[in-house]
Amino acid sequence: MINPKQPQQEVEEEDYMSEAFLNNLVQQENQDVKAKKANMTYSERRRQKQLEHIANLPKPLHVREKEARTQGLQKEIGEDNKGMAMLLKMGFKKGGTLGARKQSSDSELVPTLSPSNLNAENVAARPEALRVPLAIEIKQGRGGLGMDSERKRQAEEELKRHEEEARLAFDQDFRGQKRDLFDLAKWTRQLTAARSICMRMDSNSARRKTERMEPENQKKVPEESDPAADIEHNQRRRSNPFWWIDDSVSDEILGTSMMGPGAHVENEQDQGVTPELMTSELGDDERRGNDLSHGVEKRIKLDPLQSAEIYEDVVQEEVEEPPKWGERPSFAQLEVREKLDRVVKYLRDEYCYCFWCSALYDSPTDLKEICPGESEDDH
Amino acid sequence: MSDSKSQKLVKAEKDAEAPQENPYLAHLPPSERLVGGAAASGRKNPYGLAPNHPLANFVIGATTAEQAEAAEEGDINPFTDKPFSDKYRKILAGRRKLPVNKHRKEFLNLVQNNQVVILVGETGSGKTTQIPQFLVFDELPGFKGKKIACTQPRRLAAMSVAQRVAEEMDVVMGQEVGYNIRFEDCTSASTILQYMTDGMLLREAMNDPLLTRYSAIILDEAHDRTLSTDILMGLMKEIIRKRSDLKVVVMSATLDAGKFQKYFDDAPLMSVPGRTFPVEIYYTPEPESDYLEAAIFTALQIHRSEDPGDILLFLTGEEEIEDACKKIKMEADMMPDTGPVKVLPLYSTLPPQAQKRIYEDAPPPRTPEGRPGRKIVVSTNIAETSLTIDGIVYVIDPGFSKQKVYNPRIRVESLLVSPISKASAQQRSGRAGRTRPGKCFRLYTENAFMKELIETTYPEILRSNLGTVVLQLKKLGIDDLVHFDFMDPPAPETLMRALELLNYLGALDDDGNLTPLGSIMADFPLDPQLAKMLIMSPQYGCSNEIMTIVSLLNVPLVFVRPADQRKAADEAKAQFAHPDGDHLTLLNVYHAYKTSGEDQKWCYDNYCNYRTLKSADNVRTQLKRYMERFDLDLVSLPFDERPKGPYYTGIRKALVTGYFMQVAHQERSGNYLTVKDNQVVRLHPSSCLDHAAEWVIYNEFVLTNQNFIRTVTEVKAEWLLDIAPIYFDLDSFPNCEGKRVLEKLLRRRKDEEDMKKNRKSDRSDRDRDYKRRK
Repeated sequence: MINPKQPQQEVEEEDYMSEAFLNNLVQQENQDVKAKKANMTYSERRRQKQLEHIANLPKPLHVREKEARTQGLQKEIGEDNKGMAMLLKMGFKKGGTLGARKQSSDSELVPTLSPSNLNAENVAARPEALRVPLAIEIKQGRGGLGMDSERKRQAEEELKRHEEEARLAFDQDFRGQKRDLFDLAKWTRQLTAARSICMRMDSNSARRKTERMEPENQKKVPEESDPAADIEHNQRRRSNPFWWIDDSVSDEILGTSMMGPGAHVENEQDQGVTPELMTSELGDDERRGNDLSHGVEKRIKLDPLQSAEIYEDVVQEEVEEPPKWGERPSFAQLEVREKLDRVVKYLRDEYCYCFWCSALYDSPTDLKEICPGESEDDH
Repeated sequence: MSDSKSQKLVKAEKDAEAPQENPYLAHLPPSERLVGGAAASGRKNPYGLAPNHPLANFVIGATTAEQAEAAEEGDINPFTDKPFSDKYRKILAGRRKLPVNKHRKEFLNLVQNNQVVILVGETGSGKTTQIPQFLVFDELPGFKGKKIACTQPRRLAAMSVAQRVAEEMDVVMGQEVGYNIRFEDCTSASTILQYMTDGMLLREAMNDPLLTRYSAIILDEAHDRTLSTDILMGLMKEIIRKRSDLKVVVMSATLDAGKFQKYFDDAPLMSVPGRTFPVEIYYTPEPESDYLEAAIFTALQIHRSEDPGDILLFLTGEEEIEDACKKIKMEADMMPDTGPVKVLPLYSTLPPQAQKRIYEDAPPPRTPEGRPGRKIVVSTNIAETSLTIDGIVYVIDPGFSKQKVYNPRIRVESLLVSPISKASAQQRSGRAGRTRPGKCFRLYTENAFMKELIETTYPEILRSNLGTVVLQLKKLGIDDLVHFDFMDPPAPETLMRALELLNYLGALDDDGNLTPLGSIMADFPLDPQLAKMLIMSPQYGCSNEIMTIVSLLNVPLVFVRPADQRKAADEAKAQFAHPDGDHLTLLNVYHAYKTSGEDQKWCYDNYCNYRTLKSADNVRTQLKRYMERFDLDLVSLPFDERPKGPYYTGIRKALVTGYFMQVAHQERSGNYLTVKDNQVVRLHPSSCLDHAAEWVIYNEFVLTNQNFIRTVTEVKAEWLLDIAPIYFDLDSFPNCEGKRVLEKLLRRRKDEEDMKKNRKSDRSDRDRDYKRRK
């Protein structure tokens, strides 16, 4: 409001005593108000109107009573009061107390006191005497002794709790919540992707191993389940905590319901992106969950090792739980972000693959030199 | 030591006794100094008593306990010279068992050697009845033409104790023993022991600053620290400096007597243990959400499960007490397998007959083998110290009492329910151990007791309007109020307000000196406002009416409003209602009462309190005497029943002369605002004012959950400006609607005056023209 006025003042250089200057000011002010009003959104205007309305409403009598009383009780009687003037004439010192002077014997001990000192002495003479009137406290209702303070204490606690809640709510306001949700969805997406990569790489490396060990196995149809690879899978799963390709878990953890249908699509997309890989490892991939095609299920059923855990969820849980879930609880309890970090780290450490660069490096040195860093932000 | 002391005493009394004393025998003990040599034998009393008179051997100020007891146990009453009655002997046997009786010797020793003695004794130790009698035998005030005064904070206590002591001394009440309370003097020329309210003694001091009529003064119940007792104690300190023959005994029931001792320059302390038994104290584990319900429940619980023994329950006020009594009675009667109960209320406005019922015995069992009955007394804090009820074994203490508060900043004086003090709580629990070990149920937690209660109750002087006190002190000749030796100095602002009030009323000048008007006002046993009103009333031709109104304002409420007959009571009240306000309504009631021939039945039919009206009539008679003493005319305007007629207008104007500082103005919003303090108030529902009055005067500003002004009457703004121009000097007014109204009024007045002047000058011009033309 002040700033826009000043330049104008300088430009026009009106005499500040002149009428025109004053008129200008008034106009300026009006304009400011108008401009401000024009800039206001409807809801702002509405809120202001409401506030004005509430302020103009006559307050209930008991509120006004209380206000006037509190105000009156706090206001000391001033020097314009006749009684005060009379009291001062009688030798009262402002801010002092009433009552007898100090014992005469005391004042005799210090006979050299100047009058002003003496008065100062008097003022301090009766520390126990009242300086201000006793406070008035009006008891409401029939609460027993200690009840009021108890209630007060409870109310204070309540207030504190509310404040705390309000603070939290402020931190996690709407935008914050949206952002959190968005981040969660993003991380979940990335986690799924990272997982499928991880899955691919793990299976590839497993296959490579088995190929190396048993070259005769090469004639095997890729679609068919490879018992050796399965064994390897299972071994890995047991020995390596980052071998978690486990969709029943992922469903549970990812919380598809939380992410909405998008997450689901994401899953399917992932499957679509890597069809040949998927088919190649469907045999190992025991628990594709609801999305799995019937054929796959069938094939898996053939697998004697894992048939037990496939049929029904119940059976699966009962039978599979002890050996397989050994690592899972700790992983399942992790936050999505943490999971993602772990997978990414696993990929880097194990395969020199940087999830963020989407590149497979030849060696850890390459990874170190070429990849900008370990986190998404680095990229 | 005691001899030299008594010599001094007798010297002081020389004037009175001079004709009988031989100045040449001054070296002898007082009893041997008498003219005529009769004293030489040492056998005959100085006052011409026969040798066989019970008091013949007594030496004033040197009586021994044995002598006194012998006289008490003799055949002839030494004060009336009549033989003692049988009843006397019976009472005497009881008196000998009182705890204080064992300390008679000690007490006499102390009082003979000291001018001021502090005595601490539990209620029930017998100090209130016995100590004054001990002093009577020692001082023998009758022979000096003096009296002994014993002050009591409460009117009722003064009356009942005087009655008791008259019986103990076997004399007729009002003769040797009497009482003197405001508006009721039951003493005579032969009175040697006088019970009185502390306020009364203070009043007497105004016209007899050295209290020469008294040879000893006993300030009883000093622990109550009433306003008057506090002022009296300050006064005593001044008087004893000038009157070495005056004995002062300060009696307190609680043990914080150290404060009294210190105040009276380390006066000796004597303590009389009461007859007390241990009292077990129980606290509640949790704070109660409703103390009244909890109290009733506890009372019933005790009745059901505890051993025989009466219950004392402390509550705060009349309404609460009556309510509790009803509920307890109802519930207890329905309880199976319990004894009968007698539930008795006790509060100060209860008629004396009803109050006396608390001394009745508990009811007998319903059947000869049935469970014994129980008495349950539900009382305000008057049963805390001043009244002693025997047989109480259980005390229920909710921890509250109604206490007066005053705040000078908004000038409000009210009774508010407040937490009691630790000292009070202890006093209350002590009531349970009077006859045998008892129990006290505190309806609060121990934590609340420790943390929420103040140590001792604030003395009244810190909680009161000091208008009357300041006027009295001024009349007593105490000019330096700032340095008056208050035991607990009040807040300076309280004194400011008092000075302000008295200055505006014209009782004090701007330097704080008493004006002649103030001097007369001080003599009236009334609030300064009422006194001023009464003194001014002849000028408005309505002193008779103002006298009536003032007397009715000095007694409890005239109108009765039983909870179950509210409608009928309100209708009855409406008959007397005056449209312009409650003061005039009071006047109407009094007139109707007089017209009915002071008929008790008429009162009953019209929901008026006969006792109150009667005492108001008595007050009026007293006031009339004061009016006559100050030569104030008793006049009335011819009666005119029109509410706005000159009769009522005159009265309303006279009311303004006293009440102009208690004015409220009605705002446009409908509520009232007190003038100058700008407090939002509303009319008390009991008010008869039937229309929206712009300006009202009020008798009281009371605080409850709401702010009320009670006893209001409509006045006109013009009157305010005319009668109290200094107070209504608008320059000193805070901004408010009322101020604007008054300003407008003043402007209009000025305009009218100007117009008048102009008209006058016009006319004179015209006259001149006319003359010239001629």
